Amino acid sequence: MSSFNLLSIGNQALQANQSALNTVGQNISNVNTEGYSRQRVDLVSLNDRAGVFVNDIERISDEFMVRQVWSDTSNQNFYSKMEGFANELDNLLAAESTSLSTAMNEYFGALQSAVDDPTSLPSRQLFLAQAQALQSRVNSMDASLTRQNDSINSQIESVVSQINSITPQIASLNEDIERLSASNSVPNEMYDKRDLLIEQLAGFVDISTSFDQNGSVDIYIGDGQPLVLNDRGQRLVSVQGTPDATKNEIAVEIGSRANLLTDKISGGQLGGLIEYRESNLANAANELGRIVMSFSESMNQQHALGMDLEGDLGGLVFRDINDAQLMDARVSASSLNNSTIQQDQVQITDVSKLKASEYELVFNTQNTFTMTRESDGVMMSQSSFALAASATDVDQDGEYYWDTSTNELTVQADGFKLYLNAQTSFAGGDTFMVRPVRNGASDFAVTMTDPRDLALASPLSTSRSIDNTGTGTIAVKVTDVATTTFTTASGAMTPAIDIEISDPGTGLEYTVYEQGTATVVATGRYIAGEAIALNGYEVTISNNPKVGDRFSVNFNTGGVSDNRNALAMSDLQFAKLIEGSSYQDVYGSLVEMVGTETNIVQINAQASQAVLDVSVNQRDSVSGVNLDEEATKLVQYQQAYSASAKLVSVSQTIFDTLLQSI
Amino acid sequence: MRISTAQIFTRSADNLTSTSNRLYELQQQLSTGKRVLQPSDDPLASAQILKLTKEVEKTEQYQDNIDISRRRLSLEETTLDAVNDATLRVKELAIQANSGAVSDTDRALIATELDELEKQLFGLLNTKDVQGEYLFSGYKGFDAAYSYDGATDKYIFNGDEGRRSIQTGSDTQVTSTDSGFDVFENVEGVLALSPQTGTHFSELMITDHEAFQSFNESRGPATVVFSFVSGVTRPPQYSVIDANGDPVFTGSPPVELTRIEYEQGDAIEFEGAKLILDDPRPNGPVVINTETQRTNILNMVHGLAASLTSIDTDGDPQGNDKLDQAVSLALLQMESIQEKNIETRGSIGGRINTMDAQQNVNEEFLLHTKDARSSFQDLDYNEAISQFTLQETALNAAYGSFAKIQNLSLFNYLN
Repeated sequence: MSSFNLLSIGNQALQANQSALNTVGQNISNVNTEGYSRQRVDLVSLNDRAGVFVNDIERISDEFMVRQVWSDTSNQNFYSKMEGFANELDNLLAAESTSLSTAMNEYFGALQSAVDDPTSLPSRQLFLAQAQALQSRVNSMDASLTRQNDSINSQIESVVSQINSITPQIASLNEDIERLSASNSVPNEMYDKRDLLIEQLAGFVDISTSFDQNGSVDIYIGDGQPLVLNDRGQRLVSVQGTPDATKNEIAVEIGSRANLLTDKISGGQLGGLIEYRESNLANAANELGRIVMSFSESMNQQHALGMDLEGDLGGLVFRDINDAQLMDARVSASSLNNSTIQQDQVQITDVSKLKASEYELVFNTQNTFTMTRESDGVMMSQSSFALAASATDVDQDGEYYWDTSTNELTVQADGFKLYLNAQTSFAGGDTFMVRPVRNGASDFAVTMTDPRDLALASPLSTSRSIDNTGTGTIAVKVTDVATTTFTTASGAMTPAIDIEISDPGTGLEYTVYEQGTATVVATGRYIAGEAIALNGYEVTISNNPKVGDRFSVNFNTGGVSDNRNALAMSDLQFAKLIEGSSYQDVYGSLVEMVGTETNIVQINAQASQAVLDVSVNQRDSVSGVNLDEEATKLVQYQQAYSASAKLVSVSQTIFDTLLQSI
Repeated sequence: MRISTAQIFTRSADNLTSTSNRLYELQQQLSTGKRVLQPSDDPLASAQILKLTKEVEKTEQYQDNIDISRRRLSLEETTLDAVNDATLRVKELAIQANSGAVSDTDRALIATELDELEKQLFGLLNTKDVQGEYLFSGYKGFDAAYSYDGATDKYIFNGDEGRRSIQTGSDTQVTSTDSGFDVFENVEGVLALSPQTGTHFSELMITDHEAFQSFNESRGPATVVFSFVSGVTRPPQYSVIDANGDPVFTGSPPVELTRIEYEQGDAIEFEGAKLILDDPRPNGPVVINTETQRTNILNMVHGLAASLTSIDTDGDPQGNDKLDQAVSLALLQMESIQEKNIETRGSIGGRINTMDAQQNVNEEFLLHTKDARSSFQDLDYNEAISQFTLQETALNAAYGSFAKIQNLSLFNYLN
C-alpha cells in the first residue's frame, strides 16, 4: 500500500468536508430564501480504504407534501379572495351610513310628517329630500356593487397576466431540467425555483400536475386543459363576456382559438373571483334590484291614485320601471348569435312575482327555446309554456307567442314579459341574457321635483245628506285612475254620483245615480261594510242607513288637507309585497343571507389558512433549514476538515521521515 | 418534529397577527358598544336588529304623530270653548232682549253687541292652524270654512265632510280633525212652519217653539178646518184638530178650539203657533205643515241681530209676538248648537284620552323593542373587558416569548 494513499485519502477527505461545509454554507445563507430546500451531502466511503467521495448533493424535499401545499394554496387563495369582497359587501349592506333600511326608515318617517300635515310645503319638501336621499343611498350601493364587479374584472386581467408570466418560466425550467437531467447535472436550485413558481401559480388558479420520467412537469387547469406541456406554455386570456358584456371571462388560447373555461375554474384567486361574482355578488345585486323595483313601482302605483296640491291626479314619484330605455337594457344578445336583433325588451308585468335572478334564453334549435333561471337553475322549456293566440294575448306568466313569419317571440314568466324581434329567423345556439331586476338599483331615480306634485289626497270625496236619519257612513277608495271616471275631464269626476237607500219590502237596497239625474249607474242589496265596485273606485257604506238616506261621491275639489292617499302610501312600508314580505324584511333577509355567506367564507378562509399552515409546516419541517442543525454540522464538518488536514500533514511527516532515513 | 428556523419566525409572526387582530376586534366592540359590528358576526341577529330598528323608528314616529294631533285637537278644543262662551253670551243677550223692560233703542244696542259676537264667531269658525290650514274646512284646508253670501244674506259652509286620520300605532288610527259640517252644520233642526200652497198667511209664526215642537212631535200636524153655515152671512167658524182629529186646546184655562168665530185678521193661536190668514172667507181645511230647519251659529246670531234691529214693539201690533218668535227660535237653535258643541268637545276629549293611552302603549312597546334590540346588538361589557384583558395578556406573552426565542441560537455559543 502506497504511503501516498494517506495523502490521497486526506486530500479526498479535505475535498469532501470542504464540499459538506459549502453545503452547510449554502443552507445557512438560504435560511430565509423562499422555496429553498435544504441540501445534504451524500458521502460515500471508497472500497478498500480508499477514502471518501461526495456521491451527491441531495435536495431534501417530499414531493407529496409539496403537492399538498400547492393544492392547499389554491384553496386558501380561493377563500381569502372571496373573503375580501364578501367583507366589503357585508359592511356595505348593514352599516348605518349605507344601509338601505335606515334610508327607508327616514323616507317613511318623512312621509308620516306629510300625513300629519298634508298642506305643509316644508313637510312635502322634506319628503322629497328623503326620497332623494334614498335614491343616492340606493345608487351608491349599486355603484359599490358595480365597483366590485369592475374590480373583479381588472383583477381577473391582472391575475391572468401574472399567470402568463409564470407559465413560460416553468416551461423553460422544464426544458433546462430535461436537457441537464441527461447529463445528471441538474442543479437542485432549479427544482426549487420550479416548485416555487408552481406554488405561485396554484395561488392564482387551481391546477393539476403530472411529472414525467425526464423530470419535466405538465400542468393542467379547468377540466384538463394543458397550461404547460413540457417546454410549451399556453397563454390564458381575459375576454369580454357575451351576452353579458359586464363580465370578463377567462379562456385558454389554443392556436388562434380561445376556449372559454370560466365555469371550470374552481380554485385559486381566479376561482374565488369567479365564485364571488357568480353567487354572492349576483345574488345581492339582483335582490337589491328587486327590492328597489318593487318599492318604486308600488309607490308609483299608489301615488298615481292620489291627488296633488293643485287638484291634479298623482304623477310619478320615481322613474317608471317600464320606461322604454330601461326595458331595452334588460336583455342582451350574445355577439356569437346567428340572428340579428331588431328590438328586444323586458317589460315588468307584476313586481310582486319577480325573482331575484337572471335568466338565460337559449334557442335549442330554430324552433325551440329554453329559458333557465340562474338563481336556482330551473329550466323552463318551451313546452312548459302555453301558446297564446297572439302576442297581445300573452298576459300571464307561463304564456308565450312566437310569430315565425316576423321572427317575434314574446314570453312571459316570473312577473316579466320578454319580447325578442330578430331580422332573420332565430338559429339554434342563439343565446340571450335576460336581467329583469339586476339594474333596478342603478335605474332608481326620483323624478318628482315640485313638492306640490305630491299626491297625498284622494281625488274623490264623499258626503252624506244632512237630512239623513240613519247612522250610515260612506267611504270611497280609488282603484284605477285610467277609467273614464277620471280621464273624461281633468279635475272632475265623470259622472259624480248620488246613492240612495231604499227598501222595496225585501230589505235595504242601494241605488247609484248619476248625480242630479235619474240615470241609474248601479243597484244592489245593501250589505253594511261591503264595497260597491264602480268604474275605477269602490264605495263602502257602513253602519245603519235608513230608507231615503242619501250619499254622494264627488271630485275632491280643493281637498288639500286630505291625507288618505298619504296614509295608503305610508301603509306600504308594512305591506307584504315581495314574496309575502315587506321591502325592509326582504332587505333584512338579504343582509342575513350576505352575513351568513360572509361568515361561511370567513370560516372557510380561516380553515383553509390553518390547513395550508399545517401542510407548509410539514413541508418546511422536511425541507426548511434549521440554523442550530447547521451550526452542529458546521462544527462537525469543520472538525472533520481539521482532521483531514492532519492526515495530509501526517502523510507529509511520514514522507519526510522516509526521506530523512534514506 | 423537526422545525426549520424560518418556521419559528413565520409562526411567531402569524400568532402575533392573529392575537392582535382579535384584540383590535375587541377594541372595536368596546369603543362602539356593539356586539355585532357587521352582519357576518351574527347574521341572524343583524336581520333582527334591522327589523327592530324599523319598529323603533316607526313607533317613535307614532309618538310624534300623537303629539302633533294632540296639539291640533287642543287648538280645536280651545276654539270650540271660545265658540261656546260666545254662544252663552248670545243667549244672555237674547233673553235680555225679550224682557218687557227693553225698548227698541236698547234692543238696537243689544243687536250691536250681537254683531260684534257674530264677527268674533266668524273668526273662530275660520280659525287656521300653524300651517295656515283652516281648522274646520274638512279636506278643503285652503278654503275658509265659512263665508258670507250677500245675495242670500247667509253664511255658507265652504268645506266638506273630510276628516283626517293619522296613525298612532301599528293598527290604530285617530281622527285628528273635525269638519265644520259635523261640528256646526249637522246640528239638530228646529221645526218651522212652511207656507201652504193656495193659502195665504199674513202671519205664520211660532211664538213658543218648545211648546209647538212637543205638540207637533206627539200630535202633529194640526189642521185648521173652516166651516160655513150655509145661506147665512154669519162669519165662518174654525176648529183646530190634531192628526187624530181630536180637538186642540189653547190658553189657560184651556179653551177648546172648536167652532170659533172667524173674522179676517183674527189670529189663530194654539200650542205656541200663531197664524193670521189673509183671506176673508177661507175655504176647507188648512194643514199646518212643518219643516225642520237647520242653521249654523253664524246664521243664528245674524238672524237674531237682524230681528232685534227690525222688530218694532212700539208701532207694530205684532211686534211683541215677532220678538217672542225670534227669541224663542234663537234659544231653541242655540240649544242644539250648544249640544253639538259639547258633543264634539267630548269626542275630542275622548280622542285625546285614547291617544294618551296609545302613547303609553307605544312607550311600553318602545321599551321592549329597544330591550330586544339591545340584547341582539349591544355588548356585554364585563365579558368583553375580561376577554380584552385575556387577549392583552396573550399578546404580551407572545411578545415576551418571541423576544426570548429570537435570542436562542447555537451560534451564540460557538466561538
